[in-house]
Formats: sequence, structure tokens, C-alpha cells
Amino acid sequence: MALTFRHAVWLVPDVAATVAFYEKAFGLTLRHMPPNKGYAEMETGDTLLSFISEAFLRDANLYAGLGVVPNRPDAAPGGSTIAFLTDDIQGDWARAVAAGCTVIKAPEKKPPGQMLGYLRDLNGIVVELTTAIPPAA
Amino acid sequence: MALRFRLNIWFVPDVAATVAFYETAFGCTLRFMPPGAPFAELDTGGTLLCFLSETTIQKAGLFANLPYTPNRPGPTMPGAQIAFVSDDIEADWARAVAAGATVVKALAPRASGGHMGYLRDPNGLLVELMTPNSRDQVDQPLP
Repeated sequence: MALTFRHAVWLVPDVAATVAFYEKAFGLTLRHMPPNKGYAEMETGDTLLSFISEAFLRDANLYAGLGVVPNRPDAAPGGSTIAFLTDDIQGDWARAVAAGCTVIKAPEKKPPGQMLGYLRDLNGIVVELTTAIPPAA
Repeated sequence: MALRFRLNIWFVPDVAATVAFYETAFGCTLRFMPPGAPFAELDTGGTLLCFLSETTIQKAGLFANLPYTPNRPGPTMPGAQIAFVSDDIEADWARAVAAGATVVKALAPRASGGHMGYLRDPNGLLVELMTPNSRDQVDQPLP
């Protein structure tokens, strides 16, 4: 009865392009992508950041035909985000923007003291970069 | 320059109700929820499964008022899901359904072995339950 939170999965038009983007923009490492490139897992520890292609979703009928609002850069995103913790927000932010992320809100200091900003990836998925909340003084 | 995938956050109408559901349906443990329940983190290891209230997003202007597709139990869902690995999938599935999860696709054998199935939570989020796959068994054994 013990469940492990193993995957956070995003549906994207092009898995291989998304993997290449996450390698370049966020420095992540690929863990697994089968030859058909319908699916990929990034090496992100206990919980794997994963991508499924819209074509694979359709061909494998994964969700029994449930309608999915696709992730697109020119449309409203879905109601969820990926947040990365960084120890170098200036460097990591600049790398992500240089790789093609669009800025939703540039990093700013939040009341507990962490720096936090929001980007969108090539598919329009919302990505947060944040520093750790400093220990209470 | 080393980024850690720390939070997977889902926007929901009622954070406290969602936490209660994940405790009952999936046996998750709450890690942090401030008064008023604007946000909550479940204790899910290196990456925290989190919920953020739609009201808080609006009041705090979190995403610079970017419109988004809300999570609702209707005929469509945003293009994302979460997956739990189970070491007792029949019991975990039954517990989730008893707690009110709706079945999208019943538990079925997977081509590569083991079982998997899809559920939706009361917000309409898609939740997969599955047995460990071969890669998990090789390099990520369950405790």
C-alpha cells in the first residue's frame, strides 16, 4: 500500500525535440527514450520528469480516448507547473532564456527571501526556477 | 548550474480538499500547508507533489495573470499526468476507487509485464497507478 511518486508526465508534440530542449535549457540528462521516441524520461531523481508524444498517446489509446488539451506555446497552458530548485538563478535563468524559453515573469525576491521566476518551454509548459527558501533568521 | 526537479505543482480550486483526497485515496502524507491552505506539499521524496489554489494564483498574480486551462473533472484534461508506482497494485487501486477516484482505464497487463491503469482525482487530474517496470527493478528498487 506504499505508493511512490515516480513520474510527472507531460504530453508534447515532439518528444525528441523536448528532450533536446531540456538538455540545453536546463542541463538535464536523458534516462530513457525508446527507438520510436514516443516516450522519454529525464534523470531527475526519485520522480522522473517524463514526456509522452501526442502520436503515441493516440496510437496506444493510453487514456481510453479521454480528450486532452494539447500543450502549445501560443495557447493557454494547462493548470500545472514544473519547478526547478537552483543554486545559481542568474546563470540558470540566462541559460534557459538563451535556449529559447519565453519569460512569463522575471525572477524577483519573494517575502520568505527566495528568488523566483516563471518561464515557458518550447511547448508552452510553465517552468519555475526558484532558489531555496533561506532558513529563518 | 545544477537544477533539481523539486516541485510538481497542480492548480486546484480547493487545496485542503485535494490534500484530504490524496491522503485517503493514495496514502500520501502532508508535508506543509500554511493556514488558509493557499498551497500544500505532499511528502513524496526528492520531488514534492504540490497543490496551489486558483484563488491564490489570482490574488498573488503569480504567473503575471497568464490565462490557463483549469483542472476540472470534465471531458477533457490539460496535457499532463502523474504516476505512482505501487508494490500492491490491487489494493492501492481499490483504495483509490473507494475514496472516489474515477476510472479512466481499468488496471490491465502491460506489454512489458506488470499492470497499469488510469484514474482521475476529483479535480480531473489524471493519475496512473502501475507496478514497477523493468528499469525500476534494475536500478531503482522500491524500499
